[in-house]
Amino acid sequence: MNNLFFIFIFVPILAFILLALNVLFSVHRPDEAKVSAYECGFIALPGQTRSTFQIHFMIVALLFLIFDLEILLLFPLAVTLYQVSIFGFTIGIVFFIVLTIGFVLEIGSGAISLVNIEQSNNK
Amino acid sequence: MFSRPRLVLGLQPRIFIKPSVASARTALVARRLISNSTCSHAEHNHQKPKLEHLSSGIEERLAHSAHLLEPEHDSQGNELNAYRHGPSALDKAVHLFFFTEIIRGMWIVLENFFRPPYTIMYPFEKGPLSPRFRGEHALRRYPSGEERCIACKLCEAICPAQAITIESEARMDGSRKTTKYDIDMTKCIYCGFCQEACPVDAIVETQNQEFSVENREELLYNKEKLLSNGDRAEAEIAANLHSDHVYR
Amino acid sequence: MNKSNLIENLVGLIFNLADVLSIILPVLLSVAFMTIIERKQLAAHQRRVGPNTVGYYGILQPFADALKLILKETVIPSQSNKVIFYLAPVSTLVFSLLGWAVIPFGQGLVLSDLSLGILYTLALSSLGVYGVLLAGWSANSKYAFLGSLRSTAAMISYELILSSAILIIILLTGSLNYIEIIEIQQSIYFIVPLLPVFIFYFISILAETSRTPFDLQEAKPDLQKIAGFFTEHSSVPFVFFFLGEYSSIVLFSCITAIFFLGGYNFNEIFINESIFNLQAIILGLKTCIFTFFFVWFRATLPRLRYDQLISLCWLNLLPVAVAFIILIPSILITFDISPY
Repeated sequence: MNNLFFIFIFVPILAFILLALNVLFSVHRPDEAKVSAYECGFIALPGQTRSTFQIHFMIVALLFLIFDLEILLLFPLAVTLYQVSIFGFTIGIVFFIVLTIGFVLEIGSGAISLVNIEQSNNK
Repeated sequence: MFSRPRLVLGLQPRIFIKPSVASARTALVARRLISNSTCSHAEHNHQKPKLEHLSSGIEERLAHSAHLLEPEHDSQGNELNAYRHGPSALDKAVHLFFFTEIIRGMWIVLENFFRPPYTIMYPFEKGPLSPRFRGEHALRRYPSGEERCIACKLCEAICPAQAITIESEARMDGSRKTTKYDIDMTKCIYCGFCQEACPVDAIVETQNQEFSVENREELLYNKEKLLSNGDRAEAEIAANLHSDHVYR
Repeated sequence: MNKSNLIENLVGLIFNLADVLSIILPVLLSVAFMTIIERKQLAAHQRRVGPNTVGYYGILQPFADALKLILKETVIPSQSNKVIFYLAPVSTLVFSLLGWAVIPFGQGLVLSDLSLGILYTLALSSLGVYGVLLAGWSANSKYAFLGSLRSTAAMISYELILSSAILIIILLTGSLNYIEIIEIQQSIYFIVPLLPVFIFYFISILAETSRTPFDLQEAKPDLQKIAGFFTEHSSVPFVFFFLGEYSSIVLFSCITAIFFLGGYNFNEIFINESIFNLQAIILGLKTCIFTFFFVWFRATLPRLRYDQLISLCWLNLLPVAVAFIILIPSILITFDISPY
């Protein structure tokens, strides 16, 4: 049982102790108005709390996935750059340039623009 | 060379020196734009390279305004070459990559970090009040002890909020005094008209603004309360009135 | 024997506990004092006095705040998913605090000297996004959900920039171990050759911890009727978010000090040969510089709107990061100046 394993157990226990303190020491008097959702005075209907999911967030997440994995795949190259010298660097750069072409396509096509979002928000 | 004021003394040689655009300007642009001069950033852009060493005023004016002889608007009123008056591409690139305005703003905020705060610790330190400050009301007396108020009801008439209520009756010794003098402090707007209207300086406003109470009835002041206010604060009221008397 | 084995295990366990407590308790204290430091420093920048009543100059204010928040009622919205409602802030705090396990406070004085320490940190910052996402989902309100989606999108976008900056630092280091990064900076602190990298790294850290100028989700209750993602969380769930955010601030300041300012080394002044750990004080002072920067940025800059934030990342910073990822190894290979 080394230190890392121990801290992984200890910190959640600490957090739960703090939660338990709150449950112990505070009052619990829920009434109608308190537990309803905050809607600036309007009454939240049960069916309207989940609006339609906007596609922009999906696109951002997808692009994040692609580019994050690309950068992670360059980590081994970064760690061993001296040993692999020009040859390894060239291979890494070819991989990177292919993805950069995709990046240029993404920027040029305007995938990261929110104009549609504003219009759909106003509906 | 660019816009430092120069004294033209005597006859200057007629050499038109074109300022070198690229290198010196690059070095100066960033430094000048970061400086904390009082003129705003936009004004720095009006530094056109000035042609130097012109002895005659007419030639100077002609050369300076030579660009004005070119057509500025085409036949439809659109401005030709609108970008010649603004920042150059180099200026804009410097702003973009060296965060010029952000650093300037942050430097100002950092200067303010080292300056003393303006805060007053209220119950222990209070801000200054002028002698004319209008606070809690008081009824004054003459130095002999006789109350000043003669029930003329001018204050009741002029009060905009109708907060003053007066009833009067001849006193035992025949003098005209009030029997009831109420000021409703919750209606009063603390305008000071009553103290301006009073011919004998009976009703005045003191400098006291800290008379909060915990129930509403205590704020409906009657004559005893007002008189006792006056007795307690007479020295201060007299001093304030005296310091202002030339203006009243 | 079985019994001596048990005693050995127990003693080992006590030493583990002592190690962990000697890191976590000072970290929690530093996070608590970070809150009051931020308020006092913001006040100083604005020529006023921050909280000054509670202790001497307001030192005990965070403890008063914590006590008040523990004694407050936790209101759970009726339609929400109770498990996720409690789990989201807990996970935010937990992942922030777990990041301290790999920070070295001296030569070899680290809770666990992982040879992949940087990957551990990146993984935890990615996991921290879950807390934000689940918090907005669990509070059963349209606006809280939208706020959390936006916050999540901002955080994951800027993680790309963070990973790129860290990639460039690793190019100069040759190892993912924190202590190696500190040791290799004995010749020159990385902020000198990598100043542009430092700039976009710092921007990405400001966005990761949702600080101004990127904190529109937190400021929304002031500005619009639409609230941020933790609007439904009161008392202890809120204090977890709060502590998690400040713990991230201190953690990232510490990591910045390690990456760019040379960590616990300051070889011009002293080489640590005594039994007292002066190196941790050096690391602490360098961390303080960066927490000062965090609050200084908050005092100066206005906020960015959400679409400005996203376009800043994808259209401005990411091309710069890509450019540096191609440029720096090219320079290292061309002139054969790899530092390791």
